[in-house]
Amino acid sequence: MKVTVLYVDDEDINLFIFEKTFRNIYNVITANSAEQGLKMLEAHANDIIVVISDMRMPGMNGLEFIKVAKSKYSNIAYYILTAFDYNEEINKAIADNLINKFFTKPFDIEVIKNSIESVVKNLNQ
Amino acid sequence: MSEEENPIFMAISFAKSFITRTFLLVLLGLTTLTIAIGLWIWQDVKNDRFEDLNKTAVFLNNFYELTFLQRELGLTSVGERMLAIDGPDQVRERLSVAMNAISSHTEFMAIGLVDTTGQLITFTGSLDQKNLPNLAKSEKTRRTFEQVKKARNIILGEAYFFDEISNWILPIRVPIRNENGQLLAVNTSAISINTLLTELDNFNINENYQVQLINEDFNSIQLYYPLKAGAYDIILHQNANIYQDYKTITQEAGIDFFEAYNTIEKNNQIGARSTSNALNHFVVVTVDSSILWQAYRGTFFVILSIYLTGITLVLIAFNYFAKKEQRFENALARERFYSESIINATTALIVGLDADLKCRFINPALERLTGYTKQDLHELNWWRLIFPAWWKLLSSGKEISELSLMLDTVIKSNRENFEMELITKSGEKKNILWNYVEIKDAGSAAKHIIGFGIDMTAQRSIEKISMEREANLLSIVESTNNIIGLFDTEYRIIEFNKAFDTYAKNTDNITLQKGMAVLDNMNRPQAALFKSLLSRAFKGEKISQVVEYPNGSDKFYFLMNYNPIYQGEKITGASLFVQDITELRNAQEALKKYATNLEGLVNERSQQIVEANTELNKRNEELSTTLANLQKTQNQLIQSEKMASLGLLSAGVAHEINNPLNFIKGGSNALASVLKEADPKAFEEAAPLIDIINEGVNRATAIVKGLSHFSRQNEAKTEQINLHQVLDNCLVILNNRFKHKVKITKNYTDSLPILMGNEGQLHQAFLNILSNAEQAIEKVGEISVATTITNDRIIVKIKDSGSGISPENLSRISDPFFTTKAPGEGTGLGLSITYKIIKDHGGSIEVHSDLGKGTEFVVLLPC
Repeated sequence: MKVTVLYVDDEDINLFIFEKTFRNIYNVITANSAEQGLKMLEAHANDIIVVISDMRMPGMNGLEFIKVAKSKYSNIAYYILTAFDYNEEINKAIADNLINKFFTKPFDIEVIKNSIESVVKNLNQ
Repeated sequence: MSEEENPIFMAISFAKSFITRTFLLVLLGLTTLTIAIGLWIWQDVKNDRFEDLNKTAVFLNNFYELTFLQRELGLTSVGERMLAIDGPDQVRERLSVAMNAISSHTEFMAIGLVDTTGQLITFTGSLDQKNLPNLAKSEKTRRTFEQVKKARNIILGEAYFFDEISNWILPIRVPIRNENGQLLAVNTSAISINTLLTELDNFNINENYQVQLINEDFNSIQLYYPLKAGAYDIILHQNANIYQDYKTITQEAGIDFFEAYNTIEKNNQIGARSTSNALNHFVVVTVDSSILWQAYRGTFFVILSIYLTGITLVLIAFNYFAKKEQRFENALARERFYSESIINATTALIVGLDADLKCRFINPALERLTGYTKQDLHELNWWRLIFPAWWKLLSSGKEISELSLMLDTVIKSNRENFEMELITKSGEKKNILWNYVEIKDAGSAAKHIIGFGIDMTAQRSIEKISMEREANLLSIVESTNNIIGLFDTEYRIIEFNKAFDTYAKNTDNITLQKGMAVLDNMNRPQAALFKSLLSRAFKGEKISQVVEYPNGSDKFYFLMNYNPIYQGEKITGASLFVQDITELRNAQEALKKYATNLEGLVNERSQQIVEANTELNKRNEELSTTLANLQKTQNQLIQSEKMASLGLLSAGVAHEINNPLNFIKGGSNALASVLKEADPKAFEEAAPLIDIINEGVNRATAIVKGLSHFSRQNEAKTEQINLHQVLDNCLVILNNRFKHKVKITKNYTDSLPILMGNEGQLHQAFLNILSNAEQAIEKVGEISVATTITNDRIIVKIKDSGSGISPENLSRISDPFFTTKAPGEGTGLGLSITYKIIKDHGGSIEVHSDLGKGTEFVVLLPC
């Protein structure tokens, strides 16, 4: 069975590319805002294993969204995929164990793949 | 100037010939004089001798004449008497007469009479009778007879020695004529001349003289004295022939011997003769010409020795003068050698002009500088080719004389040096500092102008550059309202900007002047403080201190920065940089004051008006809010100021670029997978293209990522840093500048520890070092980056193969604003910031540099 990944980004192109890239490997669900993302989580709570979110978005930003999501769905692995290289906030989020890791744009398929695989491995154990 | 024209060398050659000529003349004169004197004396000796010979000849002639005329008289009378006898006893009587005569005259040896046919009529005497017929018939006798027939009076025969009577005998013939002069007979007699010879001996005639009595026909010598037995005949006939020769010669030449010659020089003989006497004979006195030499010899040797002495003295003098001249010449040649060597070897430019300002000479330095040869610049070409500006003056109608006047003025106006621009053959302009001197030729009084020039072109261009630099510096210094000043170690101000002057005027009414001991003129307690700050800076300290300074009733707050000025290792002064922070301070003070006042007011009011307390509290709150707002505004201002910095800007830009990069990368990957499924063959073809896209994206990403490291604006040094990543980031950023120029060699340690620090700052620090390394390489070169670990340190060595840093600059590279780059190309801040960052990280930097070989930066960081 394919792993289900939720990807949240306010830019449709990013969503489109992400979906196109990973659809063969994962079951990709996309959302173009934090609100939409929360809705998707609610709808597919049992399927979604990994959530990857953009950082800067209108409304809630990525970390705010994850904070809310994690309070509800704590057994999901959360990641940030950002165009920023470095950010105190993200650093703090990693330190606080809010997110597992952050990826940078343009994303590296292998890096994301490896991270998801390790999550799946953990789950299986 | 050629050698021929050079008056000095002309003088030398003249002197040389003069001396030689003088000595030759002296020699010639001396020789001529000596010869003349010699000849004169010789002539005198000769004349004396001739005079004596002549005298002797005349004397003897007279003597002979007298002697023989007496004999003639006697013989004539005897002959006449004999002839007068007639009758049968004629023969006997005549003989008797003759015998009587002989017996009465002891001299008479024989007496005879010959008739007109030559027949002997009578003869008697002690002579050899046997020979008489032969005698009468002999050719000699006959010839004598013929002579006698023509003769006016006595004819002498040739003397001979008659052995039988041991007497010298002289034959005498006397013609006997009647009244009409008709020859009747000839008395032919012989007389002994012993008495005569005795008489001659008594005359003491010079023993070398030979006296001859010669007949008029030159064919017979009658008497020879002194008589020499045996040799007599030979001498007699020899000499007779000689005289015959004389006669022949003179006759052939048409000269009368008697008139032409009264002296004789022949066959080493000299002599004199008397005029013909009544006897039809004359006397010749000769002597061996060696007698002259004997008389002259003594004189000759005296003259010769005087001459030789004179010659020797002259030669000694000549030698002395010649040597003296040689020394003079050698000295001149040496001087000439020196001066020529100097003229040829000097880098000074030398030109020789004549009074018409025509170029006569230029030295090799000038040839090299102008690129022209002497021939090129000959005469007026000098002006035409290399001083076109002056030449233009000439060609615009001015005459040479005017140019000359200009130059004259220059020379005479004591402006020893003046600069002219000349143009070389290749068209380069050169600034030459000329010093013209006028010299006069001692020989010809001609005027020459010698110009000495120094090429000032390089200096002028350096001056120009330094002026430009100064102007640049001045504009920088003057572009700020902050006070800038430089002090020497004597506390004198050596440079200051307008701002400094303005402040000094306003606060202390001091007009700044360079060299002024401004602190001594400041009548304020701060002067001592400033002095102490300066003195600390002179010891190498860098000071930054806020100082209050009275401004009338008000005061300034100055942030004063003192920094030592280095010249090499030595501190030559200190720079002062003052920021007027009064407004900032005032604002702070005002706020403080305001707050304090407000509090007091509140308290006062709260005490005074209890009922208004609530409202006051409310107002108080409002004021607090205002204050908070103010602070917030201030923070926002600071924030916005930070935002303006490149770092944050780049962070924003990075975000905006990364998104589209994500599109490209994701898009291409997706495209690849789509294509792979749909058309594997097409995918195979497109794969390299996709790789290219990915490579492009990767590079762009690396750059953006690298940039973003500089956006870390926080001052905290709490980040975990991988120094290799930092170095790699910097190399990526600079990759564009390294490409095709610099070969990068990396040698990283395997055991790099994590470093705590500020990533943004460290990026900046290493970027500066690497950037400088790249700039130090002019064309192509290498930069090696190596890291090593010691116990407590990470050592980063960055080495370039660039131009290196000179020792005097090496000590200053950490000074702010120090740069060797052209204005506008570098701020001079880069390395000073780097030093500060490394220092802030507890590290240090060492720099090793070899001029022309490269520079190595060693950064030591604690770990």
